[in-house]
Amino acid sequence: MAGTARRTGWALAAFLVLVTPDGFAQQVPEQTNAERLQPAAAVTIYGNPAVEAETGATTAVSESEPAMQDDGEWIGPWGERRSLGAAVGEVVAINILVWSFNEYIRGADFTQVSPRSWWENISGGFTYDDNHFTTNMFAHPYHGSLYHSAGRANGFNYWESLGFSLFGSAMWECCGETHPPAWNDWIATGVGGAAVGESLYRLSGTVLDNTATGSERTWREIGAFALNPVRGFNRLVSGRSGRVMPNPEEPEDRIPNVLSNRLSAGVRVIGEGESLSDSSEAHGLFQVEFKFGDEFASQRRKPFDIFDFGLQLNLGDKKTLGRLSIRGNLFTTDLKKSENTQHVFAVEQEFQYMNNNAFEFGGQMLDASLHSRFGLSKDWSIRTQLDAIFMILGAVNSEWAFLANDIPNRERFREYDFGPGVGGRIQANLAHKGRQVFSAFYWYQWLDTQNGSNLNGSDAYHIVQLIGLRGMVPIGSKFGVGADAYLFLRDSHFELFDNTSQRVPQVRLYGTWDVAMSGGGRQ
Amino acid sequence: MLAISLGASTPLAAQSGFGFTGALGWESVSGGASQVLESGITGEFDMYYLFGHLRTGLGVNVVSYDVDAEGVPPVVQELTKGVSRVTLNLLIGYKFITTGTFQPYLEGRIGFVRFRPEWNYWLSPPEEPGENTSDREKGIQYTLRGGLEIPFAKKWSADVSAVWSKFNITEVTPAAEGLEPFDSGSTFGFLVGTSFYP
Repeated sequence: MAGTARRTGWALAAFLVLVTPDGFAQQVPEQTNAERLQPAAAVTIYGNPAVEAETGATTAVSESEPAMQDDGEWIGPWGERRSLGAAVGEVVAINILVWSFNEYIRGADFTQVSPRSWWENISGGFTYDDNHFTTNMFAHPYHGSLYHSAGRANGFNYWESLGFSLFGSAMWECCGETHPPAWNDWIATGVGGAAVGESLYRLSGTVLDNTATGSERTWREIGAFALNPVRGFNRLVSGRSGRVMPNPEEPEDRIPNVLSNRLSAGVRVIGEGESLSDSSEAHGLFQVEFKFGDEFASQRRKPFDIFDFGLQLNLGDKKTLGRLSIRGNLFTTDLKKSENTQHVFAVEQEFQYMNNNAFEFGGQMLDASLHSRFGLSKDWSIRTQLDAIFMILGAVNSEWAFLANDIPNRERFREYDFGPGVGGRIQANLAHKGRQVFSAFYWYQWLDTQNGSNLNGSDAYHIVQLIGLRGMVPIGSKFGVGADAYLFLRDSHFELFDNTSQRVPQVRLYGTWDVAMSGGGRQ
Repeated sequence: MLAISLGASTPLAAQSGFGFTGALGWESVSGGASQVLESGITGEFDMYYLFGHLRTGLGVNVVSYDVDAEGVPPVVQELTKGVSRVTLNLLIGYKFITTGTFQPYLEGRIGFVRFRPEWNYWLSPPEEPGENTSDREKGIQYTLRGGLEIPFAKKWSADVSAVWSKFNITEVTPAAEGLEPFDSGSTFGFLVGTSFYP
């Protein structure tokens, strides 16, 4: 799985660089609404306004949600037909493909499924498993993103597609492997899959352009396929990948009015102890920070109309993919809106995966967040965010996790605990002329161990604290240099063992490139 | 009567496109394998493409066989609960009638078959971390399947079929004493499921 994670991380990074060329966001105003309704060349798809304007049929392409046509079909904003059968069929096909890969290529020892193993898994109920952290906290959510994308690519919205990721994961847990169903797998794949899947679906949408032709069109389709293979497959087999037709009318369905994509490259020094000089290591760093939409500016606020996608590659560390962070809005409403002050309340879904030589931490979360923006002067502004965090199921490294009970078919000794928890986070961001110059955050997370160091039901919990400072110096309109200081603290409490603690300081120095920015970006 | 009335109002037309079939069933064993294996519960999933009356594609078939443990000491019987068979098939079929309530078809298959002891029963602990202890015996399987599709909705139909298979594999040597090795056999069974044409 390490190789898989490394390749996936590189592929994501490469395509985010390649397919978001400078200025692509400036293509937003290419078409006015009136222009969208003008006939495009060689358009044949049902649901296309050009054709329907001629035929008198009702159009729904401009709607953000799938809308019903005259013949009872539902068409989404990208022209995709809404089809429950196709979505379910693709979920099943994904499971068969993954199973076949494991059975025939990997020769895995968990794929000898049969009606008897199905019944054993259904009747035995849910447990936990001992897979590697990368497998459980990254590979499974990515697997789940394929199910979610099967829903989205067949015309279903976020919530409906969440059902597909939960269903697909349940089907895999029952019938795709002989290992007993695991709570951690179902939550990571079902819930995490929705976060990864929705963000990759939106990211692939920023790459697509239905009006492009020739080699540009080809590369855009390839880029979108790499970011979201299920969507790419559907466009390919339906013929939409090569058809010239209007883009979705609402910007949030493709490129929002506010968007930024920042790439960073540099070095990070990570230590373990009281100072950076203790057991310190230096590694190369590559980072993508993609921000889609804006809490204060976005007109439409459906799930993931506003989201952050952060990816960090740690060259030379134990895993190249060191961090994947996704946070998207589910429900958003204004609390106050004046000339210099705005307050927005949002319920958000968050996915975190952190994996490096020093610690492992991640999980699936729901946040209740207060976003505020204060205009300090003409050029200076500050944004703050206050989060109450409910961790549905998290994972953190622990000294006694290998003692975990209730792990049938043990294959290895797990090094991290599973459990739910609550926490809080505050962050502030100072910007000059819309560009970030300083930011700080503090995150306190309590995690109650449900499987791991709580040997025989004893009490065990962890308090994880993350503290971060960032300073940025812009160079020109697109470049800059930055420095981050981070501190990871873990205090672990065990009823049966001595308490432990861990302190991991980290410093990062890097150069930045704002590859794409529209609406001033979101800092 | 339900199938007839529903099928009559929504017949499937002959057309091109993808199709999916899922089914569950039962099968008996004869030939060499019948010295060890008794009847089995079988599950089937097929993905194919329709060219009018013809269809071709891939199918996955899994079976759980009970083991004929007569004469095997009770303590060993616990270790000999079953054998599974997994076959990845290339299929080609012909549907004689593509509209109406009853749509008979005939299908031929050739597949890579794998036999192995069921999960958790005959597996030994790995001697080294990561070692695969799941032995597989491999071979070729030929299958004939004849059945009826009975449409009950615009894109769905019920599927009832009879299946005959013959397989030749590398020798399966049961770990438990008292069970004979086998390397071939044939099966006959029935499947009931649904087909979907998106």
